[in-house]
Amino acid sequence: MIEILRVFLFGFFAIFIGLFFMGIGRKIIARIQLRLGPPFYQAFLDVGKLFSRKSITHNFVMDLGMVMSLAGLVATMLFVPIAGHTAIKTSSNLIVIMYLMAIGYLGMAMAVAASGNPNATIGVSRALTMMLGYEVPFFTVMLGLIIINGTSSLELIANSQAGSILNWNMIKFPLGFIAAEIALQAMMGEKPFDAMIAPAEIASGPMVELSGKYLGLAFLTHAVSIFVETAIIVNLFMGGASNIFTFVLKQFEIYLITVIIEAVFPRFKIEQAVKFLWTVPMSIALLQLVLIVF
Amino acid sequence: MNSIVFLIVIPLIAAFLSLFLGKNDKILAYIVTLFNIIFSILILFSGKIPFNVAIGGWRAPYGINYAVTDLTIFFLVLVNVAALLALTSVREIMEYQFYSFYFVLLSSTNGIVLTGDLFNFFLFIELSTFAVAGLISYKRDRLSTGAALKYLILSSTASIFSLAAIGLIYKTLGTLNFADIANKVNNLNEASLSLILILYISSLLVELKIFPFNMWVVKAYEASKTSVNLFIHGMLGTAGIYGVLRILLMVFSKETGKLTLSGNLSSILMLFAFVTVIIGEIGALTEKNMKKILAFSSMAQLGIVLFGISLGSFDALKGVLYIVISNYLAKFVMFLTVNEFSKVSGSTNYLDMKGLGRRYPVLAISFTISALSLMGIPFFAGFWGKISIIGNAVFSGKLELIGAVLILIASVIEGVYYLRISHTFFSQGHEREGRISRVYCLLPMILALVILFIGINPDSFENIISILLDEIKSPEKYIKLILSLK
Amino acid sequence: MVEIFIIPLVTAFLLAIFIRNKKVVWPLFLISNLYILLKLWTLFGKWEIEKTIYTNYELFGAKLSFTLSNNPLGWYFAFFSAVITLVISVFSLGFNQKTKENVAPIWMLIIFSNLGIFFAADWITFFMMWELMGWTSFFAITNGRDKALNEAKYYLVLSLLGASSMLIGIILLGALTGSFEIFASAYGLVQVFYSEKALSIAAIMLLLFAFFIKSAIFPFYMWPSKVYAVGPEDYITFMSSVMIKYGIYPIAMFIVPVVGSLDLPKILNTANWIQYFVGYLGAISAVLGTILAIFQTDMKKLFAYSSVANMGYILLGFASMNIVGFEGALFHAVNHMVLKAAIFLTLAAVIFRTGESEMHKLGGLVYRMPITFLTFLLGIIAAAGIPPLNGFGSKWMIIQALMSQKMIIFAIAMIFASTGAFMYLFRALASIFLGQLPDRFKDIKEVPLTMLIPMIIMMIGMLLIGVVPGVVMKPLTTALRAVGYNVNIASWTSLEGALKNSTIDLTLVFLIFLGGFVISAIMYILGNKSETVPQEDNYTGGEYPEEWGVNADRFNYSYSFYQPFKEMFEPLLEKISIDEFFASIGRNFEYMSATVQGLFRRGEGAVLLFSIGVLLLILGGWII
Repeated sequence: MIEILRVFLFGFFAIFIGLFFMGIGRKIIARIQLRLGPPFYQAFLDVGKLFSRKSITHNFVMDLGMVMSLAGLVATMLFVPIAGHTAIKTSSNLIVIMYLMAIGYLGMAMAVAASGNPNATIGVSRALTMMLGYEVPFFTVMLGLIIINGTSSLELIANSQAGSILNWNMIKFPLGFIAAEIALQAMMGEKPFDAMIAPAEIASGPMVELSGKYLGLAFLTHAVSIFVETAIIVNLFMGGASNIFTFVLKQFEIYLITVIIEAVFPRFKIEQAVKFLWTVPMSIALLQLVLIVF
Repeated sequence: MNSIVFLIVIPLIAAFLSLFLGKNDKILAYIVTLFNIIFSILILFSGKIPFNVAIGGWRAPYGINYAVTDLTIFFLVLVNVAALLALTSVREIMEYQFYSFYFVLLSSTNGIVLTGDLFNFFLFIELSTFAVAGLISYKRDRLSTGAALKYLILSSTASIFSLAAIGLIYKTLGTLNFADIANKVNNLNEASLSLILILYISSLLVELKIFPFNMWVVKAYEASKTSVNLFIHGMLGTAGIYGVLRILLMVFSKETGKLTLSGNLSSILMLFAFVTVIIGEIGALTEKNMKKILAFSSMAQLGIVLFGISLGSFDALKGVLYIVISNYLAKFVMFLTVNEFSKVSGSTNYLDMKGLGRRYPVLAISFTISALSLMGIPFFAGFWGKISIIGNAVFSGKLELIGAVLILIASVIEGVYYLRISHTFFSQGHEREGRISRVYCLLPMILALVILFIGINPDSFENIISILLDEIKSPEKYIKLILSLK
Repeated sequence: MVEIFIIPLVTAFLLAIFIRNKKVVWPLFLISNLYILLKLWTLFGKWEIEKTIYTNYELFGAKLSFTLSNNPLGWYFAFFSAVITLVISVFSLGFNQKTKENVAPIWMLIIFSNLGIFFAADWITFFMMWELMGWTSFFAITNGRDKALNEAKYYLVLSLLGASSMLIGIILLGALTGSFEIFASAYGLVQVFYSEKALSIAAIMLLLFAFFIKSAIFPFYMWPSKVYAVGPEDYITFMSSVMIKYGIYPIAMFIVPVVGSLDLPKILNTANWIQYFVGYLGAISAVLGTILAIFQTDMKKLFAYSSVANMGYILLGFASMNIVGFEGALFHAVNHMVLKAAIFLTLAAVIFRTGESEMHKLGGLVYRMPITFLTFLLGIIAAAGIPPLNGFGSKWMIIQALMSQKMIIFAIAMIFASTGAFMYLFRALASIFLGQLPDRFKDIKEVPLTMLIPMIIMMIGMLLIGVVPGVVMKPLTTALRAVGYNVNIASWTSLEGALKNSTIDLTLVFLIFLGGFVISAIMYILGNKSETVPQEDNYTGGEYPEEWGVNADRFNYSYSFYQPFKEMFEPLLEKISIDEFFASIGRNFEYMSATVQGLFRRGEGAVLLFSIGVLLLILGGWII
């Protein structure tokens, strides 16, 4: 019983933090662009509004897919240790986390492709291409950390950095951190890696046919994915945290970097993005890997 | 057992008789052939093997003798059965020339197998050449006449060579009797033996369809009737293989059962063998005419046979005998099938035979079984030959290894064209007028079943082969048998 | 033991007799497969059963004998392939109502050889079964249709070449070790390896050559895409799930133990060169298979290349030479069997109803074939290696093993391939089942019940293995123990990794996913109602697509799905075209054939050639 409660608690906590980050992110971008921007709780208002509106669907796959996408991300989130806690006792295996995340993306892709709008399908095709672009360097960075720690448990990797700030992988393996940061930018779909959304080209791509609660679910999915991805980086490079507030703060720092980059960059074309990801961060990551292994 | 001469004489007499009998020639042919088969089977079970017959009572080194040993009787039965099987494919009424030549061929092939004398052997080969050339040209059109002419030219060139070889032997050893030559061959010096062998082998290779001595083969097969193809394949070809086994392995052999050729010569022979295999298979690859395909394929099979012989090991020789029997049976099945199918489709192009396998599955399946056996696929007779030859070639030396690899590649090519043909038989075709009687499906089926039986149960054939191998292993027994005759 | 060999043969014979009567053939086929499965079930644990046939045939001075034995690893493969075969044969019952040709008798022969390969205890028997499978597949692929001839020929050539190389390999092995028995020769090879290094390596390589061809490992990766595109769909299902494992089994059975017991020098302290050789081929297959799969437009070709990639994973698992990787590879073999069968069954169902295998001509089939869609969805989730379906566990084990062995390049290749797998798998899903339903498919229906049941079984199977991996892992570990590996019997739910603290409980993963699903579903239910609109009701920027003549068929984005990605790889793929290389060999043989025929047709040089031959002989004789 207590487990079920924890699952819910962790799930809603992640959604909350994710939406909170999104709101602050919008505010920061607005300020960089010398606008006033919406209030920091705007994301909550948006979600509330979306869920209360009537919406349209094309077939059951859209419903199934949207539910699957949030489910996948929430399930992933339950595997990620937050300040040393996980919802349920598991070995918080990194590979499991990476693959579980994919089910969320698959659900989303399926739902929007089912809508029958070619814009959405184009967006998905770009998103998947981008995924191949960032997964490889990101995994290469992870591989180095896994090999040096002899474990693929995220929790153990986080624990191994306990103590002073000098133990952080971020300090010990700066190259890896840089590569991971760039990959993270693509993972979150922020500029310059937002070719799959590209509102001006393909009408917001995947989102084009979503309305009402479907768009709301997509929002929540995005929120949880922000939470999961920053949490992974925090665990990998910043040694996790002893309490939940520090952890969220560290996550926010990571998110801040992403948002600031997002605010100032234009957009890569998809093939440029993939080429970039496979050259710059990949070679940095490989260099780091070689330094670690040999 | 002096009556062994009947095997040669009765067909010869029949050859004369056939000039006068007209339409009854066919009956005569069956009677004589059946007589030959029954007679040779009677000898097989008479329990008197091995024995030696001196013609006219002249003792062996001086007179002509006919020797019947296990090897002889095996090939004798094969040749005579081949004659009968080939006769079954004669459906239309043939003129007397056909039967006359056929009887001469029957007589001469029996003679080739039976004789124990080199000059006699030469005579029978000449006789068979003449008969075969006649048979090829039987159709009397431009193609068949050309083919016969070409065969005749090549054979006569070959016979000049073999005559020269015989002369040399007589000059050096003073005898032409197989046993006597085998007895004295160690007295010959290396150079004259080589010369004799070169001359003799070049003439034998023409019959054996070995490249570059085989330019007659494809045209001869293409131009002649199926029955004649079968005569060439089953009678002449089988007798030729016997000649090679007997003469190269038992007569001109310094060591028992091995080709006593000097290193380079045997290498070149081996080279010929696998070049023949490659050329045969490649030639058949894009060919559409079934008869030509089968001609190329029999070239290739004989190449494998020669390769196995030139390896000079008894295990390989065992493989050779398996290949011989597999090729012997398989080609019969194939020619008979093609004969039936080409009658229905009106052409020998296999593409025109589309869909016939669906109407006559027995024939098409028999054809496939034979093809697989020729490819050396397990569960069919050819496999036991292939594994034995390849297995022995791999460890014999570099050239042998290359040969083994080339033969394996060739068998891949063979697989491609044969199974393509099988596929064509089984694919969707259009309706046709003609019908094939069930009776004619029976014979290929039985032969295919024999191939399958040997393939699944090599024991059945292994015992026969070990007897034959024993004879090849110990030529001194043969020498003793013939020379000690009082 | 002997029954399971006699029954297929007898059945094949009966099927050939009743070939024209479909009402007899396919039920008989099904019953026979059921019998084989039940018989195999009873054979579990009875590893001592053995049947030897002695012959008088001598080779290398020893009489040949053929032995079939119930060896644990073979049983593992045979049993699961029998399960898949049974499911497919239920499918065939419905699928073959329309087809004219009948592949059943030949297929039964292949099933016979299938059992023979897995139960052969000596190389000669193994080789005989292997060859039997080669030529029968040719006929099964063409199935009497001319359009399949070229592809089938391609397959035939490769399989005959493989068999030839295997024959030489076996002969070498027999001569080196003095035994044709598989276990004895493995033991013997390890003994003589150091004294006869070149020959031993040659034997291993020749055998590997044959196995790689059969399992479509680089550079022989083209045949699946050619063959699957033209073969009869139900048989292709069998081929892609079961037959492609024929190369895997002997590698696990023979090569891995031999290489594992050798003490070869290690490169960079990680692994020896044979491991790297095998691993690189596996990695190239995985990566190349993935890239090529992304570019296909024919769905059967797409999944053919996906098979190539999966074979690459399995090979990587072997290359790790780590018990986790080994188990993972064998586990993945079965997982791939199950998921590929599921996927190909759905493809067969789609082709059955639409007659179309080009993905861009399909679309929106989810409206008409929901169960097929669900099977396909679960199939691709499994193929992508996403928990909680099968396919994840085994891939996870292989990656774990690679990471623990510090084989970084292989691990990266594996991740590249499995991320790339999302691309092509999703593309297939979107193009076939999602998007707009073209008008010409408005009237199609879901497939009949006989075809639905196998698909539902496959769905359950994928989920079951994914959630309770012990279903496969328990027999596998039992078999491995029986063969002599020092492994723990796996538990029902969890998998052991190769790294520290890396046991994962797949049932727990499933439950957590379920938890996430519940949360998500709550959010969904909390939202306001939604309304279903027709497929044409799309955002089009204020334009009416009909005005430009764009109908539902053309409103799908599915032809050049990954055009930007393709443009990146095109220059690379154009340079390396092994397919073209093989094709040019074929062409050259055909030119040569024409030349040879010309030589024999004209034949003026007959006497000249004769003289050349004599000259050669004289030359040979002269230089004594």
